[in-house]
Amino acid sequence: MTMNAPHLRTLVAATLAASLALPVAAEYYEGQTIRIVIPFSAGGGTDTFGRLIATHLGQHIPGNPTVIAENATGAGGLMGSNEFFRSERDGLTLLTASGHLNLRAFLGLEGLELDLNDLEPVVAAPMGHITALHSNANISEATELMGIEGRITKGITDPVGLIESIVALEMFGLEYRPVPGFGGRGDTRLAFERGELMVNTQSTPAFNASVVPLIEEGTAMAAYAIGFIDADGNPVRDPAAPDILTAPELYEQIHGEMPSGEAWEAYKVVANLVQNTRGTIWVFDDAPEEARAALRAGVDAMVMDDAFQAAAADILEGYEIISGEGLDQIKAELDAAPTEILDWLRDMMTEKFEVTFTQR
Amino acid sequence: MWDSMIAGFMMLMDPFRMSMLMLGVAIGILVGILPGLGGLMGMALVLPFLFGMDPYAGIAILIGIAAAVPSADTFPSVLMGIPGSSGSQATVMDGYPMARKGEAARALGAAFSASMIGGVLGALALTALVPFARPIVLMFGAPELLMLTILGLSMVGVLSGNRPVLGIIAACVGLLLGMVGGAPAAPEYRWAYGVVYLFDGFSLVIVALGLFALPEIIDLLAKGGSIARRQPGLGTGWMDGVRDTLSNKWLVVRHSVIGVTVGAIPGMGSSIIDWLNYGYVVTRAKNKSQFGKGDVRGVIAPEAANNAREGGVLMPTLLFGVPGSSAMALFLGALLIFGIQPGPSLLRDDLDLVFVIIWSLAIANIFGTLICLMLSRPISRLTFVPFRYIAPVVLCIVILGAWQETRHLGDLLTLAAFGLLGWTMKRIGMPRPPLLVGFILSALVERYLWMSYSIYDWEWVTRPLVMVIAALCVVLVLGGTVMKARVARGAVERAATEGTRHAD
Repeated sequence: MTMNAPHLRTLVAATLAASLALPVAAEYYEGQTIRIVIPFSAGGGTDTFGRLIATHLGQHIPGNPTVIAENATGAGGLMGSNEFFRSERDGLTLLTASGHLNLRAFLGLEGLELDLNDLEPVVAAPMGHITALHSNANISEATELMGIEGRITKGITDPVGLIESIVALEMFGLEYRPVPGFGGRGDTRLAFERGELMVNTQSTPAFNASVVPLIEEGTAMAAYAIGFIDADGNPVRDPAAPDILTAPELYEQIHGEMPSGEAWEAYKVVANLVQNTRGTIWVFDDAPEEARAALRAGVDAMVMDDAFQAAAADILEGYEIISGEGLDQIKAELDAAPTEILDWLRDMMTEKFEVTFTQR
Repeated sequence: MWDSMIAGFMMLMDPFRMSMLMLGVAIGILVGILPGLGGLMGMALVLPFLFGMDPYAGIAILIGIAAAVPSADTFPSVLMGIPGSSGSQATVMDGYPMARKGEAARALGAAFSASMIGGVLGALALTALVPFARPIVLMFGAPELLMLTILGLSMVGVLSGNRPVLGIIAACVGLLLGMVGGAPAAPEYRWAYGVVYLFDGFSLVIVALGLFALPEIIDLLAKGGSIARRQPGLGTGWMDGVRDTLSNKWLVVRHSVIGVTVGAIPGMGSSIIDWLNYGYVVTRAKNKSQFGKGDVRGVIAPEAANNAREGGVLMPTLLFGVPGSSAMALFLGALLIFGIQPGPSLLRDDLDLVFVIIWSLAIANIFGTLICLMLSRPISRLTFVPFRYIAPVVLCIVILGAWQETRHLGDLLTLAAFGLLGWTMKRIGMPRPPLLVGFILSALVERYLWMSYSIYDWEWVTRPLVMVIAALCVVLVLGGTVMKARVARGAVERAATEGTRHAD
């Protein structure tokens, strides 16, 4: 080798930019096996997303590697994500994370080693959440929200896993009563149906499947959607439930102005971070450049594939896969999240729910 | 409802699903025959293979196992005086003496026909519940569910046979072990000491495999020889047995009803229902002289009840998502794997599926008992295979089953630790079922207590249904102890808590 190092780097960069089917990238995954760690049990939402990608991605990556999905369950994603974080940073091990796992890592939950600063998203998928009220709240319009009398009971599973719904309640300034001890959002829906819980937030697909029937029979009413936030900080309706007002829109209707203050800033961070990364495939950002380029090329080809689109439509229930620029935006939002707002979130979680974090 | 009943039947008639149901029955018969392995183990072993399977087929295979075990576990109870699973301990009392008198065929005939009728009645009871499911579910809030779990805990006395103190200690140890890991109502880890493996607590499957399967395997191996001693033969008189059941039809119905009712109380576990029914049939009988010496009624009552029980344990499982038994805790897990959320919404939105479960239960009971009856000669020959040939296979299955949980080294260490604990308990005569009940109900009691208090403050204590169940707890504790004392005076004493000691 007579070429000097800078020259080589320019050359690699140039060829990468020039073509996706270049031999360097193809050679990298040729005959290799990519392992996608899914830190949740089989059959859940994150698992379904991870397996969708595992099934389709391999054939689109230059070099056609075998892609296998592997469930490494335990401790709410801690076990599997820690296992991933200790693996070789060679691009052969990827992680499927849920939005809430990402948030746990982002805030630095105790026991979790995953650090999003070391990672780069490969592909992601969004999912919204909708909050409903039980009929015993005794109001006829969502705009009467602030006038509810009686205990506003809210079921608590793992508080960090419900953060978007909690921050929304904080934003409204509602005095709610946390009811701990629920195993999952499914359990809270049951107690909601019995009227023991007055307020309940479900993912939009779960809301459509299991809360809408309650609304039809008059047991419940839709209050607000969490919705998304655009680049300018404005609320965007949930594409799977476009008729339901988002929480900031409802706030504006009630108070005549948009929300402000720390809770609103936290809401903007949390709504996108949790909901845009409902399923995220991560790779280490210091994995070899040719590996990351091959993965990107694979995802770009995959999302154009009809077979993938058909399969994805079934699983994503009204949402679009995020790839390319959308991923850059996720990464940018992560970097842009103000430190004081993250501190506010940590303090709120510690104060109200005794969740402990380890500062990074 | 009728539409769903027919739709469920048609769904199950799919050849693949039917063959999976039959596979479940076959597995159930096998694990039923092997001492120490019951429905829980059978389900735990197939669970890893169900991922990605058609949900109805997966459910069929699990229900097939659950339904066939209480029929097949009669073989070792009658033929060798060792209960095939915890649900047929009481069958030993009269079944084994009958076998020694050369009436094994009659005892088996009576047991299987009673099992079949009991199982079908259990499925019917479950069907009868469906129209009332929703109002019942809405009646049971967190305080009522809390009382249900306490009701389950108050059965520990009955579970402990004639060693109530040891039983209560075991239950407390179970409650403590159930607290390891993430707390159910606060974001903290208990007794995990920063070990991530312990964050989720111990897995039910591994605890059950360790407590029940390993000690049984060790002791059978240590004893050497086959599961059963060579015997004169089964004798004839199958039809006599069937006729015994038919002439005692009210006995069968009565004990099926008891089986369903007791089964519907969460955490009661299979190991008490047979004793409860045996105790009851003895106390109610006019002529008690033959009990313990080979009275066929002593076989019919527990066998009808333990098959009917499966209809009962499915009730809280499907209605509330509260597992009716430890095996049902696994079944619940399997439903979640298939993306099915148990609870009232299931009964409203997916009644077809509920009927697939009910039909599976009824059909598996009929086929399970028919297969046992018709193939009893070859099946009973299985019990003469030297255990050293069976043990390695069973041991592999047990270890694989445990390893499937998280595929972490901790799985194997936990299995070994609980195996040692179970074996020690067995040696010192400490009943093991109370430990499992405590372990399962530990998190539920804490959870529902927090919920009840957070939602209602102390008002929850005054809710009418709470008080009714509380009264029932008192009755059960007192009544159970009295009944036990009465039965214990009889021949039960030797075999009480763990029938296997009988064979030591």
